[in-house]
Amino acid sequence: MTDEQRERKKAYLREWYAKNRERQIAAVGAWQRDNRERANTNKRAYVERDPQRRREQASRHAAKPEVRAKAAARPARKEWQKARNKRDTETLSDGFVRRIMAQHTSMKGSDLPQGLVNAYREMMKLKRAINEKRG
Amino acid sequence: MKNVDELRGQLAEVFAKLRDGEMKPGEAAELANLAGKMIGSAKVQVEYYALRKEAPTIEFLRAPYAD
Repeated sequence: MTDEQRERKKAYLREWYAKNRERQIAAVGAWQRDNRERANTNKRAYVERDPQRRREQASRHAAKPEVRAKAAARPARKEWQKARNKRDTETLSDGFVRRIMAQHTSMKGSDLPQGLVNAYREMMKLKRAINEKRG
Repeated sequence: MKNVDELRGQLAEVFAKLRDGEMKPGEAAELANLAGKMIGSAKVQVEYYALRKEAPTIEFLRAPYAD
């Protein structure tokens, strides 16, 4: 294939995608819904292949005005998240303790053994009680 | 104290004593600090093996009566 042919093909594909974008997105969405397991595996593999690129894409998406407007239009969700975070810190939920433990390590919270998490929770409780007593 | 479950039990005991006023906050803080060091070192060990993609049994983290 010559360079000119390659360029022509690219232009044709771009034009085709512009015409069929909505239909294509809907078809991919439908396939993902019907093949949830495979779709999730593919997504996970994509993130693992290039996590930096995924992060950049996510922040580009979050910075779009329409996405920001959508998030701003759902204050209830923000409130709900706030309440959930507050509840997690008060009850020392498993996820919260694991997240704290995994900070500044190369591990995820889920990598930690349950016994260690339970001991750490007990220690956090004790430290809170000490701080309360000290005032 | 042989494993993490015993450590957890001890911490719960200290917590109860502190709450009932049988132990001073300073004393409890020393024990909490020591427990933090033990948990921290176990965490480092877990991380080390995770990075090496190994999964040996860590005695300190083994549940009693697991065998």
